[in-house]
Amino acid sequence: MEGWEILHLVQDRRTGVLYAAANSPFYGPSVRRSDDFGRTWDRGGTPPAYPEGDPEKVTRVWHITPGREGEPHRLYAGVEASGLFVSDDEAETWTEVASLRRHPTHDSWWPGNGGKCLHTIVLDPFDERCMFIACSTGGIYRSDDAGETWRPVNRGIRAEFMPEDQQFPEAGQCVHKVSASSVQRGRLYLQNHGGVYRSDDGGEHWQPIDAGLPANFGFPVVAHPRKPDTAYVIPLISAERRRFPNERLAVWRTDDAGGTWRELREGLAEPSYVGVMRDAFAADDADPAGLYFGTTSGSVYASFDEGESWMEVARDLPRIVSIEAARPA
Amino acid sequence: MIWVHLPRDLAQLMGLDGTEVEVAGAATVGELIDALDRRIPGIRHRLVESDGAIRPHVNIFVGECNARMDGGLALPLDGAGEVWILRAVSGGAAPP
Repeated sequence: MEGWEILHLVQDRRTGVLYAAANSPFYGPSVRRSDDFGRTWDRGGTPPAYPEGDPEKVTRVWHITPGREGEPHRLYAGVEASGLFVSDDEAETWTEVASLRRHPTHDSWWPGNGGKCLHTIVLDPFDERCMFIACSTGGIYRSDDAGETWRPVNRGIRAEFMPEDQQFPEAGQCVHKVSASSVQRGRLYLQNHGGVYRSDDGGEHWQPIDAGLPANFGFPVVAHPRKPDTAYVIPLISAERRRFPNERLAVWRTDDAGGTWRELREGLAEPSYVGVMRDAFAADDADPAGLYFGTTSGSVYASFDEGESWMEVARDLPRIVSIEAARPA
Repeated sequence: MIWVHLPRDLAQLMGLDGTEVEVAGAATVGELIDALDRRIPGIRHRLVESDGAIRPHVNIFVGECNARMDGGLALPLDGAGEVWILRAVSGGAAPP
């Protein structure tokens, strides 16, 4: 896949198969699969596409989420221009979940710096019919009927780029990433364009939790795989500069659901003038949890003690946009 | 018969041994791509967008005419013996 822009690479835990959101500047978007842990890749099936006559086009695939245990061949894909697709044949063909773009707030979606992209798909761990998507801009949306209908759940999330009296719209926020607790029902953590938020009721209400952070801008957020009050963010200094505050590469962890935060930087480079992108930070499900992130300068850092200390496990790679934990098949 | 010259990376992606494919019975670029897709299933998606437009960084030359800017899929082949499909130099740019 040399020469292809890979925006997300994920392992389907049900089968061990790898899927890549692979986009060619020449030959367009695709979802490509590897059955041998990345040694070889297929050429991609029929790519996600909006119907002929649609005013929007699918220009890139941003994110892939494998379906639930009971849906063995299902995958979801988030694309640019923002939309959601589903495959029931392991990425050979795709069907748009058209109800999402038909929502009346669709007019409030605009491209951010990265493009008009649907970059986050979260399947609720507790309710088989509940799922969330997030797009920039657009915000976070929730479905309670497996994608048949959607509603924005952005109440309390600020759109700082709007006039003062319009900063809490129903939709149109620039949500960067959402991570759901897999152990506490309804708990979500969210990194916004400006601000970090927590919800305890599946997105119905959000409260800001960034008071103890050095900056409220950033891209990834990771919920701890077992501790509902623990989450991690990687703050960046501002929307324009997109590098670490005080030239110090650092992960920040809360152990009290956002009440307080602690800087974790043992083993991380300093000074540092790089950033971390929205899908370039992930946890595994080990105990203690392993954490992994990649930088825009091509370094990969890992922690095997829940963030207390870090080691650089790869360097001088291209700009890293996707990190996921996977097991060799 | 028309000889179609493909970009090397596209030929490799589609699992071909070489970069030239012989196609018969096409009178326009659109028919040529349909014929190619019958020979090489899936290649159409790599060359043409869902609305029928040639992808923005793909050039398809029939003689001196670049179909992307001159008729699109309707450009007649006019008895051409060969067609060149090339990656555009603009492909380093972000998608439109």
